[in-house]
Amino acid sequence: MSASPECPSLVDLFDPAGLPTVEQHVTRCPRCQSFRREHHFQGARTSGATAAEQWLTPAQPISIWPGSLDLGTVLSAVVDHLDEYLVCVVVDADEQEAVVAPIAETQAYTTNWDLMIEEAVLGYPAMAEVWNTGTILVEQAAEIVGKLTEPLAEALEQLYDAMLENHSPPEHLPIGSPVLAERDPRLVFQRQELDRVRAYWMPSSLLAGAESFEPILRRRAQQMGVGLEDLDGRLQDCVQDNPHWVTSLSRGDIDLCASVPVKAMSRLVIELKLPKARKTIGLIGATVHANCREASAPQAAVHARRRRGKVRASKPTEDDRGKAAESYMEALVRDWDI
Amino acid sequence: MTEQQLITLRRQLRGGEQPPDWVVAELRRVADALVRYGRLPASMSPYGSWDEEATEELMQGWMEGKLLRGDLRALADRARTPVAFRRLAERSLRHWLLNQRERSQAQNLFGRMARLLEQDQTTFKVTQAAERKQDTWWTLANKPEAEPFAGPDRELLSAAWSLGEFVLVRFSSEQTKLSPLLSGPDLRRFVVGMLDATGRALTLNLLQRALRDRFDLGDVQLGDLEAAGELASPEGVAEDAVLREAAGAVIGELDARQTAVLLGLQSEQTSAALAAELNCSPATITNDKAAIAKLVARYSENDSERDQLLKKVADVLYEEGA
Repeated sequence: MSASPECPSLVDLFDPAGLPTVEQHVTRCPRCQSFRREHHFQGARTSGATAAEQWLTPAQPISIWPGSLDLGTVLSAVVDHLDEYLVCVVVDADEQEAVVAPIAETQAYTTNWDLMIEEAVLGYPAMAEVWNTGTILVEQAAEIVGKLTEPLAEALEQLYDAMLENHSPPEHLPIGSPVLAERDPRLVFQRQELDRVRAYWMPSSLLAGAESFEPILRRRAQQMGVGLEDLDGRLQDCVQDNPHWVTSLSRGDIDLCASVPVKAMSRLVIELKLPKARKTIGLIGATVHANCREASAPQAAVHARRRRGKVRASKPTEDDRGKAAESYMEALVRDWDI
Repeated sequence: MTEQQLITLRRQLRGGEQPPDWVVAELRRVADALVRYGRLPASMSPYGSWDEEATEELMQGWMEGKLLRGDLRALADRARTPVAFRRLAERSLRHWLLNQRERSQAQNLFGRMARLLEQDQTTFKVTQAAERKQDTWWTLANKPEAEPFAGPDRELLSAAWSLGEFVLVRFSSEQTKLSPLLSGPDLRRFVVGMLDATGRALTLNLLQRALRDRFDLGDVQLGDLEAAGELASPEGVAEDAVLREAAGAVIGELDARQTAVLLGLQSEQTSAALAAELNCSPATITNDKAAIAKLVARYSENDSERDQLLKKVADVLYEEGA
């Protein structure tokens, strides 16, 4: 995690053995500078990493089996560069992603698209912002915080369905009063909440809108302002005999399983700053499946064919494609340790 | 506080355990630092100045009024690191302090609302008298046929929210007097707006409920209204020392991006340029501008004071040595 864009507490701001990340923040924050000036604080003496600095490195998130992310599960989600969790409730999930509604620790700004959660559920009164739902990757789930009661989980589903279907929120649900005017201050709160949670949707949005990896590759290279040829240049040593493999991949012209080692693919994912996630693997698997050109055959049979001078591979069956994709995906899972 | 302690704390609180001593000590550090460095106006102190006793009272009030009512668990759920925990705790304490002030002034506010209805016969009219003052039905004088409101609280609250933003005044240079929570014109706008938006007659009880829910205020004993004495009028923030104190309080409530937006606007940067510089959308800048305006308005009584205060905030931020 890098330094938080948010101002530190006054305890940390005036800590003589302060954290380097706090000092880094202060150099560009007039607010924090003015606090220190007021009290003639010269700044922390510490430079470089301290014991305190270790605090900034979060413990490994507790691994959550995606299957446990079902409707009504309240979890904390992470995104790499932020030091706050997003507490949210699962509305819908599969093995790669979860649609979640952020939870606000207040009911002061409840509208009719916020589900009120009584204190008994989380230990504090809260609301699920159904209007603010977004998608996270299952790897972002750090810890399970709690679980909505069954009636509340059903209410959440009903409210979410009503929103998707463009219906009015069902009257009988524990929700707030509707917004009737543009000048309603709850809309200001909602804009702040949109800002607060946006970063948590980013990993999933990088992988959204595609059925396979090639479009993601093209789009991401463009977003980063990196040419495919540049990527070829950076990664040419990863794949023998094909210095233009990234460009070929972007066109769907390459049999990944036969030509691109898993380590090379991992390097490409890192270069593109894409998340190492099940969703990414799924997209790569779809590319392997679509571009598989060689039938799987026992090694002895391949050698025999070659001895007889028959080097041309037979056309893969659907089963061959499936096996190729599965084996490539399994290798990625092992390589990424997820 | 270490990372591991934070993980343990989270589990303990979820298991229904009481907060351990070390976390109370950590929270006390947060409270001490806020009192010492946080530029809190003296008017926010229970005794009119910030000393050890006032700090202790602040800590106790915060623990009992907020942290032990679930807020500590919410903090622990959201903080990923001890640094984030302390930052969120300080924010919680600031909010609690401000809300306390609003709640303590609620009685004053309801008394003023009653007086407003009674004194302005050209705007308001009784449609149905009652034995108790708070049960009398009021309507707008130009809508004498309005029926008594019989809808749900949700409808009442929607109407209250639809009236837009109200600035809650939280600061007065004369700390012994009760500051009004809403300025006179805003209180009038609220009462007229509620009668107009619902199109019904309302009682003081209903108006009180709308006000309480809209501004998250405490309950008020309406029986005490008869005994309410003369209420203080707002005082300005004219003197420089007071203005400086108010500026300090405003800076304390700003976040880093809002500070950058305020300074950018003071140096006549456009919103688009600021958005590019701060790597956010123009809508975010618009939000921040509104938040700054609201914050400054809370600590001043009129446009002239608002301008002065805004300038003072920028001066303090830019002060010599910056």
